[in-house]
Amino acid sequence: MKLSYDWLQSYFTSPLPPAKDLFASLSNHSFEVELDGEAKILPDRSADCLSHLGVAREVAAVLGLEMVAAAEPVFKLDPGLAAPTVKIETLLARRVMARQVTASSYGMTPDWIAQRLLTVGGHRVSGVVDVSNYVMFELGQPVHIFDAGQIQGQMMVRVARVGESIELLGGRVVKLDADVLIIADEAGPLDVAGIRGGARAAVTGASRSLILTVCNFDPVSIRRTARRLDLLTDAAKRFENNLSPAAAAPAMLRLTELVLELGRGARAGQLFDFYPNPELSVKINFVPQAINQLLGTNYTNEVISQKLQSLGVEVSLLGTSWQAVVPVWRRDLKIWQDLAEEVGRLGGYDQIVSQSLPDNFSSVSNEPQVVQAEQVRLTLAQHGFVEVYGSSLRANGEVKLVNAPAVGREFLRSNLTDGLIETLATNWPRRIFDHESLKLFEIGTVFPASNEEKVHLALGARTAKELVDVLTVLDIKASPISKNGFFVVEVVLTDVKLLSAAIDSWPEFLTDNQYQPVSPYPRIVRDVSLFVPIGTDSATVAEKIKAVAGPLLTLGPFLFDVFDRGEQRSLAFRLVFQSHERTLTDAEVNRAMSDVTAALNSTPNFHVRES
Amino acid sequence: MHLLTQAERRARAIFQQLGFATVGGPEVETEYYNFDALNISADHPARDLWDTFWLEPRSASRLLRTHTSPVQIRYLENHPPPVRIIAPGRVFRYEATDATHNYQFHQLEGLVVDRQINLAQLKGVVEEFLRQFFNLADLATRFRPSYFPFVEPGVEVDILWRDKFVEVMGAGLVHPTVLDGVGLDPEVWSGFAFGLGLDRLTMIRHGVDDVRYFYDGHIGFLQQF
Repeated sequence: MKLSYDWLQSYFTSPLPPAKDLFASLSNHSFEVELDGEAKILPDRSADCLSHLGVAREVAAVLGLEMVAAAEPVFKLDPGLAAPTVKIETLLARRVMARQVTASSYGMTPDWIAQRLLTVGGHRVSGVVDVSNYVMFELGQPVHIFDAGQIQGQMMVRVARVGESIELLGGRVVKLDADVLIIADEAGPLDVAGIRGGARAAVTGASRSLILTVCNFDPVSIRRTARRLDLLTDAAKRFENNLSPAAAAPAMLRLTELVLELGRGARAGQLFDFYPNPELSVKINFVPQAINQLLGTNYTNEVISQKLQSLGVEVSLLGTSWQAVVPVWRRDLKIWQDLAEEVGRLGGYDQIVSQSLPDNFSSVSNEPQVVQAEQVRLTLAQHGFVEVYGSSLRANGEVKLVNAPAVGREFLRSNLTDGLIETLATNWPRRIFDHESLKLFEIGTVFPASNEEKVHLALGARTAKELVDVLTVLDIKASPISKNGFFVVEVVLTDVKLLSAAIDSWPEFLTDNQYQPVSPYPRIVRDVSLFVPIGTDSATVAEKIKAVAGPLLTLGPFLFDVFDRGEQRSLAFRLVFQSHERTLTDAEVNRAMSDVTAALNSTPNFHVRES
Repeated sequence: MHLLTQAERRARAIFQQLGFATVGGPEVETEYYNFDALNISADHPARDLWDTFWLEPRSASRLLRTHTSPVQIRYLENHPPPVRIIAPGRVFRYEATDATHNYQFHQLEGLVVDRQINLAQLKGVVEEFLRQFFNLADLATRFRPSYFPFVEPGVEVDILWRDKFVEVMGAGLVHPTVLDGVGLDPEVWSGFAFGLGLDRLTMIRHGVDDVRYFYDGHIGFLQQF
């Protein structure tokens, strides 16, 4: 939810810290808030902090500020305007409040409300609709207003009947069934309860008599319906997180007040309030010392009480036992460990002094499969094999996904071979020398049958001969199979028996190398050979080449051929040119090679051999 | 060896010094181990925090594990405390792929269950690990409140990297419901758990700017490390 800094400020008389600092404090003590005010409210706080009032309470607790006492809405009820009656035909409605308001017309959205809606990303529709949205962003309680003139006969809250459908605000028509909770009249559905209003009784410029509704519905029912109808609305989000039914009453007061202010000659009627099972306060017994023990802190009883009280929790000492009475809006506080979190986060996790674990774990034994994978990897690395990590999802297999992420990724892999062959093939042209080998392996999980999951080892190369040595060392009896021009062996990892048990399981070698971008463009390979006096250090020659070859030289020079003739030694180097921005031309590389030739020939006793 | 293998080995070595054994777990999981036993019930909005790959038939409720946390349950079901384990492994999320998100990646789960385990110890272990992994004695870390249904309190851990805090793991004290579910009395036993993103940590440490490089198999990338 997007937070408005000015809106939060309105809850306090003392000035708040600058937005950057305020949001940083909330991030450190409550929940993540980005610099632009976007707050990442997770499900634990969605019942109270998807609202500015809820966030303001957090601000008060985190910064130790006193909130301005909210002014009680003041308005007179018209005794001649009876409470609407709503027939409740379902147990899924936990609370239903309704009230009629009439006026000769309704004005535009007040500027201060328009401004606040704008900063939190709300849409402006009309005065009446805007104030109802505003109440949700202020108090976290969704509300809905119907045009009473469009309602036919008795209003009711019930589950839909099979075959019923509703045209929603915005025009979409959805089919309903017996799992969907609706608000209806005698002509049919008016509203998908708690999720989205319908078009038939929507408020328009011609509306004079309104029915204000503020309800609370079963969170599971709301969640299932919102998902099934693909209506993930702001209202559904608040209800599915188990908003307190107690929140309905202040929201009805606030909504009535704001609608009355909009209406010309407006009158508000009596209240209908269906609330069969009023929620009881949650009481948690706790031991301050247990909270300290869980956090690793030494807060005094007074500090713990004070932190909880700053959140609206009432703390009392009953004999030797402490009791916390949780405010109705904090749906997430149920057990004493929840209270420990409140104490810990308000005190600040940076204030908790780090401790070590007790030093009572001397022998550590890893699972055999972990040790085995380790030894196989080390053996293969020593034999020049490069380890790859392939995709677990492929176009073929025995186990299919319900929801594939992409075409060609519909199945769990049934083997490692298919992926390894592909990787061998794509890497084959990337070699710099024709005689260069390409030896790859992977250890990974495969799913060869519906209920089977195994860890396999696969290794592959261009020729079977390149695999033979290491197969012997690993005592793998399987023969390499040939596929698409490569040879591959795949076995179950636990079937590999190591001949040498002497490999140290834990030699450390996490490289410190930093990633260098790999160009997607083709490279151009060139050789240069030259005569130098015997005794010349080839590394020095390579340095000289590197110094003049220019920025397009990406790999090399690699020394690949050496022979002596009389007093002279012939050296041959391979250079690889590549750009990160484009495909290189021969002309560019020719220029670089001319520079190399010129620089070498200008060195005394160096002679580049003409190719 | 693959850079992620090297990073995992380094992580295992650091945790081994601290008394943690390495264990594994299946990549195909049941809804029970991946969610329910971790205090994430079917109709709870917290389910939305994990975009899940389901396997055919959907009615069988089998899935690709979305995190390594099911290993906590599987291990505790078969091993009495005290427990001190890590579980590295591949996990899956049904989400759009880009430079920082992939449908497959690696986590490393940690779990300690013992008498009188506290948040200060979680901090101590996590800080020690991060300092050693990045080889920086003065690496700054930050613990922020967060929410994962299987821990209470729940935190996220950031490191200060090139003047910016970046998130590297979620953690917390094992939720009493989770302990209760595996038959441990939460008034006797307590624990902490953490789950770090191995790909992410490795990207930070080695300046890798696209997570997909780890899985492309390009030798020009693999042989840099």
